Amino acid sequence: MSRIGSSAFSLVEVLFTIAILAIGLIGILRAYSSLLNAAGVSYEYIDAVCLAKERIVEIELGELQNKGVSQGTTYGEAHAIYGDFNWRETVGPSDDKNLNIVNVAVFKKDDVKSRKFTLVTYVVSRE
Amino acid sequence: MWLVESSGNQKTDAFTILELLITSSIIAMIALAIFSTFSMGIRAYKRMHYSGLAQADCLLSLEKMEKDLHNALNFSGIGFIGENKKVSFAGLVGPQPNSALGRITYYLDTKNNSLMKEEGFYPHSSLNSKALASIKDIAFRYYYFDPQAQQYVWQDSWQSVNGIPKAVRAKLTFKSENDKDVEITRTVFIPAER
Repeated sequence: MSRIGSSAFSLVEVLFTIAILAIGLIGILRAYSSLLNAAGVSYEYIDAVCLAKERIVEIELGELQNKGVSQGTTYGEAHAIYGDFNWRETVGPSDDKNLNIVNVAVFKKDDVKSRKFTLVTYVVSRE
Repeated sequence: MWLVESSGNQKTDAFTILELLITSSIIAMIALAIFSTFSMGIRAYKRMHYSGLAQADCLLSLEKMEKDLHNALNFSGIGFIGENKKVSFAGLVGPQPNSALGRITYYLDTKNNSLMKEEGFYPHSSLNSKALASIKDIAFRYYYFDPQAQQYVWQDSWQSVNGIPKAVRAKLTFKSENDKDVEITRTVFIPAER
């Protein structure tokens, strides 16, 4: 007579197998979800860069109209496709007294510790 | 007792119904978790694939146009012609080592709803046009200094007798994945205009 139970899996064996399988799958799924996150972040970056470029253009148009840009900080909310973002423009003195340094920062609206994207340029200062 | 022996010598060496139920329910739970993750991923992929690709096409073509406009020349032989749906100017044409002076035109092909780029060497050569992106609409505006009013103004068209404008603004509209119109605006300053 052969030993009873030697030719079939026991429940414990099946459970162990599933547990090991699950541990392996967790790793794959985590990699997958971090991939999706990274893709989302890259899209956010593209929008942030476009918005920052638009703000820089606005400042440069103002520079032409008013023959220079005066120092100060401006805050604003973006609209339309950039609706998720806020921006902050800081115009400060640079080493050259004829030029002001402009710092345009773009960040997500409802995210306190979100990534910030900044562009820096120089404009003629307005006396 | 997991294994029972029947009245005969024959052994019923198999799973009980309880074992099968527990195992299949665990497998079902894991399968559900995997399926929900993947369906979420596929939805995200589709969204990116459709709207993302359309947007990427538009952004890439705007980037090309920005580069060309940035390098636009003030050359009397090839005047700067600006219309609402079309902009045409002098610039470098052709692939990098063999590029030469020519006319570059960006316009909206209303029949195929696509943004076209057309270029040809100066003075005479066959025109080579290609579609850059499928878009719904594009509108160009031109920025210049009005000497009468003594201020900078935007206008919808540009005549070549006035040289070239200070800046060009392109407002591009394309359809997103859920049939919504999305607008991207890009303004390019032309350094050749002193």
